[in-house]
Amino acid sequence: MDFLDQAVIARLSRLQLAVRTPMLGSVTGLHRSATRGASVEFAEYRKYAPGDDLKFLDWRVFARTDKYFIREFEADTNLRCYLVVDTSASMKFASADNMTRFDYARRLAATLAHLLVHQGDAVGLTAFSEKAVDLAPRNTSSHLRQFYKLLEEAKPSGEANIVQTLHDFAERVRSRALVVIISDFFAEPGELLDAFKHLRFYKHDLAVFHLLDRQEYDFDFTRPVRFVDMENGADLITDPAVIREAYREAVNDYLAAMKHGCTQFQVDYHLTYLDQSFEGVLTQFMLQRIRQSKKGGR
Amino acid sequence: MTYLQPWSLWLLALCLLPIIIHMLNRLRYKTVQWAAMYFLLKANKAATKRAKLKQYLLLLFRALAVLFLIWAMMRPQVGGWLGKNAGGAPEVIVVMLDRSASMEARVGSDRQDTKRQQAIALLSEASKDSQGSRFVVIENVLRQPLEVADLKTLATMQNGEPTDSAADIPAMFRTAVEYLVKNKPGSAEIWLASDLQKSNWRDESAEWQDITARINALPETHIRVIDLSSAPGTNLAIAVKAAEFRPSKTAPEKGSLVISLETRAGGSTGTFPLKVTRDGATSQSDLVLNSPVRREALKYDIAALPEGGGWGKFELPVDENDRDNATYFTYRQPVPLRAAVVSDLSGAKRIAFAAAPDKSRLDRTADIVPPGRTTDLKWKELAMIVWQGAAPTDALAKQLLEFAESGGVVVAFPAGGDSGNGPLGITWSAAENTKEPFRIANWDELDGPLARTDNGASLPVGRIELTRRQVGRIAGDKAHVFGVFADGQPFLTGQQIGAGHVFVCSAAPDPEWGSFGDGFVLLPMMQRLLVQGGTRLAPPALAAAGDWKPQDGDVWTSVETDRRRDPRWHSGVYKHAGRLIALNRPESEDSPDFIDAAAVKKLMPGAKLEVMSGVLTMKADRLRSEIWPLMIVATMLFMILEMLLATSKALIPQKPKPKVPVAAAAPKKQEASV
Repeated sequence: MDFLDQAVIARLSRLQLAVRTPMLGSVTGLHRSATRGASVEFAEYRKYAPGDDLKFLDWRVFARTDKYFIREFEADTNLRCYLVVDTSASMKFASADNMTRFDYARRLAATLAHLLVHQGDAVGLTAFSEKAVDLAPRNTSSHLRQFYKLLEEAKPSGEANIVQTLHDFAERVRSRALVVIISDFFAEPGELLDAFKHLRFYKHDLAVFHLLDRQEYDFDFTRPVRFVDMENGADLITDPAVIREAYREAVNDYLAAMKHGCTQFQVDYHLTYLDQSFEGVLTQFMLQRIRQSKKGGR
Repeated sequence: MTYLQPWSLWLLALCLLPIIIHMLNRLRYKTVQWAAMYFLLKANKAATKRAKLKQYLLLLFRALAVLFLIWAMMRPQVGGWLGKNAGGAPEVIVVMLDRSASMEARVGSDRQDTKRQQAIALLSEASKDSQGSRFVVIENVLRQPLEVADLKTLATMQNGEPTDSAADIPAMFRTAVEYLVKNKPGSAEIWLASDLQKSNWRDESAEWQDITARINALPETHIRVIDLSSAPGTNLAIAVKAAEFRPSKTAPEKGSLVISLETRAGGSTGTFPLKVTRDGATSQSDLVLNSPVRREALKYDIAALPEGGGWGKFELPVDENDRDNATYFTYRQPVPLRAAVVSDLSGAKRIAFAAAPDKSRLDRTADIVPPGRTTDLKWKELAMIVWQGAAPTDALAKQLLEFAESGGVVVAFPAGGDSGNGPLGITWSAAENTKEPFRIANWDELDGPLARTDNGASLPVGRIELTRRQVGRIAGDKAHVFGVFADGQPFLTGQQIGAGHVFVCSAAPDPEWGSFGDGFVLLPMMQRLLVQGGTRLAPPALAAAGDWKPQDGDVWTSVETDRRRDPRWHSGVYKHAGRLIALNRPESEDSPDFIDAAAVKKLMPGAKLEVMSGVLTMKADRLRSEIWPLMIVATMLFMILEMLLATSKALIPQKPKPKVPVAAAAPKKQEASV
């Protein structure tokens, strides 16, 4: 399992992977719940209703006002996180010195899974290409091993329809969760953003790692090249010098649309280049989420 | 277009090099497994059209840069002056060839070819670029348009032979213009090969205004002048100015021969052998030259004048121009020149004196005849009749007309009084008096009674001040005005009538009329007119080749049988029916004055004229200019265009920049993501 770097994990373990919105967990955990619970953190008073547990009755208030008020506390719950990893053939791409996009995605997913399980959160995996393979979220060590195994056995191949896959995923997982999508997102930005919107509709905390190789941005070829589509084998012979300007325009337009759409739908968007350190990317990701979580009231 | 390095033609294939490299580059593509086809397909679709256009333009510029570079290496030549107009060959090319005596000067380092030969070679070479044109040759002697198929034939044609004549360039232009007006070609060029001798061009003549106006009125007519002028060398020229036999008073067949000889040194000094031939006998003497021009009067005793007269020639050694190394003369019993002044006015004496000032010379006399005694006129003996008075009777007018048509000169002076008629269609306006003297503003210094002297000095016509004048005119439009007053009224007008001439002067040589009678103009004018009228009594013994024309049917043969000569344009001594005439090159051909290209252009303002100077320093096959510098400039231009296009974004589709600076979203290595 070369996608696990224990040193990195050890350093990242000092940080907590937080969510930006309250979660609906099954057990007590580190994250704010959407319901009231039994934590030590006071939430609010409400009028007593028959059937309420009397131990939450505030007698002092009763003594002063002669009225029954129930004290409520915040609930802490665990987190269910779905890591959605693109395993289509385009994930095999890598320029000269970089690891493949899939390797990068796998490192991100494995590290995140390890951190989440070890902070008591449940982690599930959806690896998709032409078809999606799901691993339901659990927070046990045995589940984590199964998670790793699935990642290790995954081979990038086939042609993915990421938009349809995300729509299907949204319909399948309706209870709110942290959804982390790791992909190259080579699809129409409008359609992708629709899928993100669909996921946000079910109140998922959506984080996106958009993996790009530097060469895919720079397009710095000097000779005519026959480009072969890694997913469907279609090819195109062209002189990069001729279309470089137009290519960069297309990339810039695409990235601008993605960034703008994600900001609009409150998607935690991370454009990540494969030559960046994945530890740095994750650190940035986690710190940012912690800040956002505190702003959210916790 | 021809090429000095035609073998380089093969290199033209290199023009395809940029295209081949481009194709090879396209074929030598590498295959890349690519994920971001989404962007690639979008970019390819957006950029292909304009990018391909840009690519093709780049290829074109590269190919053209190589093409012009190789073209320059081939050293192409075009008729710089012919090929200047890219519109193709004109329909008609009128070739005007100056084959005057001065064109026989040898030029070049080897001194092999004369300017005329060079001109023919240059014209022949230049004509190769105008194969579709009709060539019409006009040379300076006959001035008859002659269509030729190939200008090369000029070298062997009679019309291209050397002559001892002068060239009248304005007259040649007139002939060319008349030909073009008559034939109305769609486009035409006039090529003139000339040494730009000032006397031939007559650049001071007012004719040029009319010629220019007529040329400018022609459609699409270009003039190319091949300037064959050259720096003055050390050429010697010799000329007999006059040859006069002065008979002994006791024995008319004996006497002395007086020859006025002029030698132009042309920068040479020293002693040169002078070969003298007289009546077939040849002798040699030394000619010492230590000044630019040497004039001398040689006197020879004639023991017995040959029947019909004698002849002779002077010859100098061969030098730059052979045509001016020989000069001819004839001599014979002088014919008395008599003038009659029909007048009863006081100025008649001055006129008679001006015509024959030397009373000791019996061969030049002038008699005053009162108008009432015209029956005393000895018509057959007269060379000139001066008329000052009322119009003659019809019978007398008829006699005057016959006199003029037979070669005599009739000169009319005003008598004062009211307007009226004079002889031979002359009309007089009323006499005018003025306090501010009338002055003569312009006069013909090249030809006629007021022309410069043999020495080149102008007559002081401008100094004449008249307090009275009576303007005389000659009916008809063929009259030539030899002098005009400041207000444009004619002072002296002449017209040819048959073989003779009639002149009318607007001033009487009377002191009451002004200073005209002082003689400084009147004297040479009357003597010239008397000599001119003398041709009626005896054919000239000395004439200029080209100017003198034998009468139709007369066969004149050279007395020197060793050389083929044509009396129409060759110098020499010719004989016909016992008469001799010596023809020499015109005096103007010895003139060392030339005009320059700028002066030629000034003569014809507004005309599409180009003067090609310096052609004598080239060989004939190099008349056509090399245009490789132009090709290099074109190469540079295409390289600059290629560079500008390659670095330009003009043909790349530009979209408005996104609000978010996305470039910032592509952080450099090791930077954190968004």
